Amino acid sequence: MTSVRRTFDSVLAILLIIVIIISGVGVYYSSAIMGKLDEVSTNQANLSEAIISINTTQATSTSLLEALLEAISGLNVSMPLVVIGSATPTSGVAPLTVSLKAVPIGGTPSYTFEWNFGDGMPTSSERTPTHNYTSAGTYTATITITDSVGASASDTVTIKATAAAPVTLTVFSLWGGSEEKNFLQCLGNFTELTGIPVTHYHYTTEDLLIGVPMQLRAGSSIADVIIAPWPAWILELAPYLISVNDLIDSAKYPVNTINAVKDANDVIWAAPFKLSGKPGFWYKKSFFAANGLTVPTNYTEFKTLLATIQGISSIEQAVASGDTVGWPLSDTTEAFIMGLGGYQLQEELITGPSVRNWTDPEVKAAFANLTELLTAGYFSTPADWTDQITKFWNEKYGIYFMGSWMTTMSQIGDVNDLDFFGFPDTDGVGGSVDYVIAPKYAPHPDEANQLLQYLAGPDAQTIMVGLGGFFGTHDDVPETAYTPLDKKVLDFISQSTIHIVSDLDDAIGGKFQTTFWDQLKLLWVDPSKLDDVLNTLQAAALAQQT
Amino acid sequence: MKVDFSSFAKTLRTRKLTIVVHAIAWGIAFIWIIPFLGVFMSSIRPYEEVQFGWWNFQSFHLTLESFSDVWVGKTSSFPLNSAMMSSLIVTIPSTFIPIGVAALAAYSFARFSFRTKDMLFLIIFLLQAIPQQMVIIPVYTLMNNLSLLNTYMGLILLHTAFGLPWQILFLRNFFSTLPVEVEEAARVDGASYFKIFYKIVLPMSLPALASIVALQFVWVWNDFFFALTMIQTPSMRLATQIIPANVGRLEKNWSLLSAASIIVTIVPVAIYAALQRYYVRGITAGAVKG
Amino acid sequence: MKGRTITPILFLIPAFFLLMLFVFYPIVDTIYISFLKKGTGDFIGLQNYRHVLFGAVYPLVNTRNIVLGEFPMGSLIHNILWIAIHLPLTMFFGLLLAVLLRDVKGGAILKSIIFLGMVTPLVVGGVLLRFMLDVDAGVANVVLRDIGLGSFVRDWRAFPDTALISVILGSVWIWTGFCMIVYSAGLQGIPVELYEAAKIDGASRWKTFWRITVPMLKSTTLVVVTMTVLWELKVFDMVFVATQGGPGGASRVLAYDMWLEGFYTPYNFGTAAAMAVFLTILTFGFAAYMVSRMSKS
Repeated sequence: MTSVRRTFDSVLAILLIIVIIISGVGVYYSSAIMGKLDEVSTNQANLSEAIISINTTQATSTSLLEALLEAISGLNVSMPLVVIGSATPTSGVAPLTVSLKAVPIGGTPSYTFEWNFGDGMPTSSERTPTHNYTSAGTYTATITITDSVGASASDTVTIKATAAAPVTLTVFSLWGGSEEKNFLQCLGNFTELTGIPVTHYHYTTEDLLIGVPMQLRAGSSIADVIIAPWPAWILELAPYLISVNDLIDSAKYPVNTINAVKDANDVIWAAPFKLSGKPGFWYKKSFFAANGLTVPTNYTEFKTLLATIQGISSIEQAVASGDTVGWPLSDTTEAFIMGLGGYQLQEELITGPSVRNWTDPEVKAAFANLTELLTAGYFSTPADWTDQITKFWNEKYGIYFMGSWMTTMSQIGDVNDLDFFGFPDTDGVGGSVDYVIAPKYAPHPDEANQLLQYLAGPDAQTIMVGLGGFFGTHDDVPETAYTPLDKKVLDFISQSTIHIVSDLDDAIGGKFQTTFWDQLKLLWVDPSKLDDVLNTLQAAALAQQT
Repeated sequence: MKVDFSSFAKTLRTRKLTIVVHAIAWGIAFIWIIPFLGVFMSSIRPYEEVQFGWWNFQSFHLTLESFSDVWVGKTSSFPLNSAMMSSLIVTIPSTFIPIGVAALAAYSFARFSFRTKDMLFLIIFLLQAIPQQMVIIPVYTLMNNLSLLNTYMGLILLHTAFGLPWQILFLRNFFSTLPVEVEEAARVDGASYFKIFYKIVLPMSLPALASIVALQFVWVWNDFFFALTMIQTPSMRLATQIIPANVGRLEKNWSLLSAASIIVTIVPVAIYAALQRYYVRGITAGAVKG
Repeated sequence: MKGRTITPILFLIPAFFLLMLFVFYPIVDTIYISFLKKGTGDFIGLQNYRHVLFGAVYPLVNTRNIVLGEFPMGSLIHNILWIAIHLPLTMFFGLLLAVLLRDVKGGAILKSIIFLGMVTPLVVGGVLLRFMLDVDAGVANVVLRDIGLGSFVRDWRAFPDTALISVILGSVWIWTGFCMIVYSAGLQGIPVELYEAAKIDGASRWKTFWRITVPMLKSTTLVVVTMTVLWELKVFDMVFVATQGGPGGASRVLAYDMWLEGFYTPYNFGTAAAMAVFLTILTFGFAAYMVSRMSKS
């Protein structure tokens, strides 16, 4: 290579390196600038909107022709009477507000005007009236003028009001299978009432938990309305949500359900929809009768019951343990925490290490009872929770701790043979509330609010109650709407001696929740690890607060 | 180039050894195939029959219900049909776009010499070892700023960029095995570099390109992590995202899961079957040369 | 071929543009983020690393449990265990199958079928694993019952001692095809003359294997080891589907931890980035080391 070429090479090589560095830097800044640009363009849009609105309030002529015509009309030239009608705008989405103008020419002033708007509404005698076309259609507005000597002239303007683009609402929830079917019926009723169709998407816990915040933090939302049972998560997303203080009557709901989604400034960020409770241990009446078993009235009787059931030959284990990601185990654990430690213990654990540590003796004592039973082998190995219902119904297990939705599960052969008893002597019941939230970035915020109000109201909830496995949160839902077993659960939960406490892991949420589930899975198969588990939970609770 | 065991000694002992060898080979292979067998079995039988073991043959009913259920998303409301389409939408461009880009770069490395060549090549070589997790956080923010988050285009670009290092390497190695004379002759005739590349080199490189197509297609189709972080709307999800969604779901059903697994896996298997020679060549290209 | 150097630059620009944007810049940015404190963005040096390695709820290295020999031992240790178990097993079975299936009738078909594991999406691999280990519907437990070890029947994924091993064995099933194919190619590269010379010298099959085959496969083995270890360090999909890192974190791995850290509340990109950097140091360092060894041999 000649020296000239060599220099050329070097120069180009350096250029290449510079290009690379610049594109690297450029990328970095452009990504920062992009964020700023959005701000700027929003400001610009606001500015131009302001300017436009100023312009339209002026009544002066907007075109040269009209100015000319107005000038001419001022002259008293003897011309035949003519009127020119115009309208602004001549098309748009209904309801459409149109400004009409009549320019008379010739004839002998003064003139009288009559506008017929062509939609059956009363006529106007103004020269430049404003008219609102409420429904879609093509209208012919006619202006007729009469001058002082009785001559008349008329003109027409065609105005087209188009139907608004159809709005369809999008709803996300965790409900699939039969729960979803019921919910769709309720949504169908909303569509009948308002004419707004609703599409429902069913999400997994993980997807809703993570996917929605991702979208909202990115400044967009696909859903108009989201139904989620996690108050802590909702409060974290408050900056991206519409507050509901003006949309619902908060006095009509159980106080705890409202307080859970209320922030320090008393702003409520979600409307309560569905109440689920975990009443206790479910059993088959016929199974109990056939084996001479009775419902325990205290904890000692409970332990005896377990031992008795365990002794029955066809039984694998006394208590079924359900699992998917872990929540059936956490529900059972919380029953022990509240049943043996009191409902306040759970509430304190929810508040966090500032008031209650997982390693405190009270907590350990409650857990110790659980591990005693686990070690005795009364609990089955965790398996898919719906499979466990089948096995429970086939009398492989004696009792199964599950939520109020148990009555709707297809694996239950005969609901009339099903019954439950609460954790003996408990003063707290785990409950969760499914809340309705509307993101700020909802595609159709107004309609979203409509749907939110509907779902939070007694009509929607009464429908859902009628379909089974649903407790409404609104006071005005009639008690007679419930099925007998559901009524029994509702009565149990509503007792004055029972406090409804939020589901612990839902309330804390985030990484703690996954850790909690994970640790319980460990505890179930190896109860001797109790101290490790409590230490890990304590560390996780501390980490969650940062 | 087989080593014929039986030519070592023609004794009965050797014959027995051959039988033993066959037995071991087929035995191990059979063990490897059992999972596929199990999945296939449970996908064509109703769940009640396989709930306690697909090897039970007391009642045997053939049904394609699981497949249609999963395809349409009847019980699961996570339909596979749209997910498969989404996967195709992402995978096909992610396979063909990088080829052009990588081939250009690889040709440059193979044929030209310039000052910074070695340094740049080293960078490309090292980029191969980067795990997906290393880039995802800034990429997530970047995609968001470019409004490419939750779009197929964003995912395609990401896969393209990520596939470039190994493809450039692979093609560069291949190009250097091509005879230079043909290209130099064309150069003498006055052809531009780009024309030479496009009209001469690329057609000669079809086997290598086939390898890249095979490998990249399977890689992108099977990818989960990038899809998981980039695509959030359920209706836009790729096929690999549907599987975990169904596993963690409320109601578990092995027949459905098996059917879903088979459907999702059929596509890369088909590509592999069609391009098997090139796929294997692609994998072993680095190996034999060392 | 030498030419004006504008052309090579032009040829390189599209590739470098994409690489710069989506690979190089993110790498640098991730490293930068790993030094920042969550929320404030202050520079806090190696604090994130220290926290992630030892101080987190699920530290990467759980020294106490390592000493006790109990799971979870920390994601880093889990990955190392993964390598320690997965690598020898896949190499062994890969080589064995490569050798055996050379001469067996139908060997090519069997090889193809075994290799299918490589083409299967790893999320499906996770499903297959869960399916096989299921208490009622799983093959593994049926076999145990049939051979009289019924007392051992359990859901292997659900127990801390065996969760990690289960997933590792599942990944062995998937990856063995790769080793097999690469070794097959390597075996084909050994010249026949060497074998014939050995036969003339009257060497036994065993000796032939160890004196000729193995040494000639050295460079192939280097490649197999490199690719396998890199893959073992990066596992994510299977763990995600099969165990979600459980129970009690007994089967967590680096990649899974990183994802959890950055995408679950309370989101902490700093520590997640630290994990990513850590993971990359391992993969990078190992790759660099292996490459230097390969270029020496």
